[in-house]
Order: sequence, then structure tokens, then C-alpha cells
Amino acid sequence: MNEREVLLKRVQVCDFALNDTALYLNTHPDDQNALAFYKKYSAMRADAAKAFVDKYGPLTHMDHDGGDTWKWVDGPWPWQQQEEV
Amino acid sequence: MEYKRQETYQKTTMDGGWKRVTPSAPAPRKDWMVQKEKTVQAEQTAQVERSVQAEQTVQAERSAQVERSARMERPVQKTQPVHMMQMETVVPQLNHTYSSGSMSTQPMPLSMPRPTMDVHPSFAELPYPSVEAMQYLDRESVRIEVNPPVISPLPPVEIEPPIYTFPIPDETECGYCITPAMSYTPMQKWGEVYDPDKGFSRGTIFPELDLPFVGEEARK
Repeated sequence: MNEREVLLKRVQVCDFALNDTALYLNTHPDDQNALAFYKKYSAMRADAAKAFVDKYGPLTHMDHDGGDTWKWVDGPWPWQQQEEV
Repeated sequence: MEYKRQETYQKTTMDGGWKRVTPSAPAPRKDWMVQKEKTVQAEQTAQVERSVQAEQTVQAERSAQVERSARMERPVQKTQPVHMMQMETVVPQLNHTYSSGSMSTQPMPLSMPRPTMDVHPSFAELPYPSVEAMQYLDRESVRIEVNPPVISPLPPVEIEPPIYTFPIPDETECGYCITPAMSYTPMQKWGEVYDPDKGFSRGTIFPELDLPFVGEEARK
């Protein structure tokens, strides 16, 4: 697993934890423990995403950095991946 | 059949005027068409016959049912609710109680009287054990109190065919409603959660929801 895959996996793991917690919060909107967990992993996800975007380009097209180049098309396309990360 | 030519007029869409249309004679019928028509007719006839036969069967069954219920001769008061109707039978010279002691000494009547109690109509339809069968039953369970003879039985009431085909045990038990199932799911509470890496591989971060389908392994 190269560094790119490690960073991407970190984002995916945080996304999954946040998604599962969001489902819980839908039925428990005032659960402070769940809210704290969500806040913690939300920050962690933002850090992981920033690290990835800075080094390997945008994760989504909304990560456009405002520069004069559209970097979204520079990354590998899904069919160009060596294996599913 | 001779085909009569007829002229019809069709409104044309182009100029809004009328166009004379002379339809050509229809094509002669093929052999397979005639065959098909015959098959359809035969099928329709058979269907009509079948329905008539089914109706006759139903009629016969209904009349047999009415006859059967009339043979039972159960005097029922019209003012009483149906489920409280008393089962009384005219049995002369049987003003005593059948108990385990008298079973062997007293002569048994040829037709067993029905017990006097509140009986649901669906139970009343159940066959009563015959005299021969009674001797082999547990004597405690066949203790029957026979009423004194009814002097003036009420005229029999026409009994409608039963709606239910199964006996309903008690009206108050379920109010005739059939509840297939009820489920209760407790509210989830926040407790220990998996490490996100483990949760990612397990498909959930909640250990209480980590219930993999094991299928055949469950038998081992």
C-alpha cells in the first residue's frame, strides 16, 4: 500500500464512521457522546482530506483550489487504478 | 354470405373535404381460421357446462347442510345471543347423572344427549362421540349431566350455515381478531464503538449491530 492509498483509506474510514454516526444521530439528535464522536472524526476527516488533496489532487471536483488549471482531470480515472483501494 | 359493397365517406385531413371510400371485399377465410373458431366455440361451451355443474354441486351441498342442521333439532330462543344458546335435547327417562360409577350399571341411551352449557355455535357443529366410543374414553372427561325432559320445546330456528370452518375457542380471548405477530425493537443506546478501522471492515461501528449472516454455519 503506497502513501496515496494510505491517505485515501484514511479518508474512507473517517467517512464511513461519520456516516454511521449520522444515522445514529438521526434518531438521537441530542446524544452528546455521539455528537462529540462526530465532531472528532469530522475534524480528522478534514485533515486527512487536506493531506490527500495537497499531495495528490482533488478528491472531488469541489476540491478545486481556485488556480488556473482544472486539476480534476489530472488524477487517474477509475479504470486506471491498479486495484480497488 | 354475400358481401354487399357499401360506400362510406371519410373526412380527409388534407383539405378538410370528404373522400369517397369503397372498402374492398374481405379476404376469404382460411382453413386454420375456421378451425380456430371451432376450438373457441367448443371451449366456451365447455366452460358454460362446467359452471352449471359447479352451481348444481353447491346447491346440493347447501340443501344437504340445511337438512343436517334440521335433523339436529336444537331449540334456540331468538332473544338469546347466539353464543349463549342452550343446548337441550329431549331425552325421556334420563333424569340422572352419568358419572364414573353409573357408567357401567345404567343403560346408555341410543343417541347421546348434548350437555347443557354455554356452547359456542362453532363447537355445536363438532361431532359428539358415539356410545361405543364413550366406553373407551376417560370416564372423568365424559361426565354429562342430563336435563329433565323439556316439556314444550321451542320451535326450531333456521340455522344459517357456519361461516367459520374452525372452532373459535373463546370470544373474549382475542375478540375474533387474528394477530399474526408483534415485534418490539428496543431503542439503540450509545455505548462502546469499534475503532473506525475495524468498523470499516465490519460494516458498522456499533458492536451491537455487528450481526453477520452466517447461514449454514449457524447449525455447527
